[in-house]
Amino acid sequence: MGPPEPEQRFEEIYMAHYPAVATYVRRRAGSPDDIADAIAETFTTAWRRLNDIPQGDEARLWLYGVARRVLANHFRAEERRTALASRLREEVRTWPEPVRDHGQAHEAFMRLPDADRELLGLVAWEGLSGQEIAKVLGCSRGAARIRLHRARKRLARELAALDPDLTGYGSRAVSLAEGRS
Amino acid sequence: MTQDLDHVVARFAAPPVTEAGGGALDLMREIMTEERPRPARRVLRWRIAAPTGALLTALVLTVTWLMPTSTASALDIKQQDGYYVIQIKDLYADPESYETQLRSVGLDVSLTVVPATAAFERMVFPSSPNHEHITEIKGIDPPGPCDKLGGCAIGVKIPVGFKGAAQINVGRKARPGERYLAFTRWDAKGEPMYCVAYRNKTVAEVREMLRERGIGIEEFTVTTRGTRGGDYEVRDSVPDSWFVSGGSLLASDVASAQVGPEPLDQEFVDDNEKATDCPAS
Repeated sequence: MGPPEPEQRFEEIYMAHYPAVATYVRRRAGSPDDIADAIAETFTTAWRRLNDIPQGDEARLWLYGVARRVLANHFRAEERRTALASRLREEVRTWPEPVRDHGQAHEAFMRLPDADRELLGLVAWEGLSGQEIAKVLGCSRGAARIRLHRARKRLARELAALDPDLTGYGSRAVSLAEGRS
Repeated sequence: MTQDLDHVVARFAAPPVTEAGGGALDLMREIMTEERPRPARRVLRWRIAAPTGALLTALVLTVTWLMPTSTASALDIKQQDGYYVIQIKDLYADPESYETQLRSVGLDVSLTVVPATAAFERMVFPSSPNHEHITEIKGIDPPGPCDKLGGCAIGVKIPVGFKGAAQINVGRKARPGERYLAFTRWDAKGEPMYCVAYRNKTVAEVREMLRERGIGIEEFTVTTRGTRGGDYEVRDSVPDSWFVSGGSLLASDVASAQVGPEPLDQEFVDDNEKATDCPAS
């Protein structure tokens, strides 16, 4: 029916960015079902808003932004299960289990507000720059930089609270925790 | 250094997903069978109510008796550019007569024409026996823009040599008062609430918007938890102060509204409004 153009574009975006989106989601969602649902919903939104998706690698940032909102909503409506992605759920179960025990540092990280974890994750896991983070979060570059600085500071404090000897985390962590930066 | 903290965080990362596996490809195809923009779960896709067969046969019998010459060939089937190009000459013919003709050219294909909501009039929806969308079978759209979510097909094309079994549902305009057997959200392209900002308005406000369009609300679907999906129950009435999150037309003048005591998450509403190709909504 009609020209194949939207299908073609969607397929290109999907094939190019599925790994990045799936990785983003699996690092933030819990169960395989949640992961599969969030991936399904992110790409369903992409399909629906195909005309809004920017070209090139910016599409990835746009998709991260959608996935972020999907996850935020998702956890508010945990009972929700999409009719899609039944096979993907099975596939997600076969993904290698992440290492769960990261000790005290992980505990400190998990104590941070969601927004802080998201910022730190975008830097450390997705390898994004301040400008890219701003695009994912829909804020200005300056705001992203400030929020990131605060998130790092809070992480340093949490780490310090659990382990007063911060030398293992570097001098920056020490100065952040002590409020010198 | 900042990197030290980033390295701490980096250690918590689950391993990356490196490729789109079979499940991921399935998902991609599933998503593309859905209409754009995507409606909420309850009215996810082309829906055919259960008693289709019997009901249609009854309708069809009445109508074909009034059309004495049409039974000879309900379909016009031509071969062109590697496709069977099929035109439905008689939208009210007996499904068996369609099937007989399709089988005569070697196709294991059934065709059903159902009364459809405006967005799905002239929609062609082919599916396999296990209800998967078949992409090789397509509607033939006339040139020019189409103002309906389901397309504006004037025919169907099937590749010559198509071996699978298929069920093709085609939407036709419903008669006045006739219940739709295929429907979608009332704000889909082609539907009366298309490009109308109604989400998070109250039941009283939306009832008025619908009334202006000659539509009454027959039932309310109440989603009990969360912003979307989840469990729902159908009620005859709800407080006027509740919020509307969606709805469907069941016939040209009858609607079912999705409502809840709480408004939807505003970000979700904004996303949905951006999702349409309405002039600056």
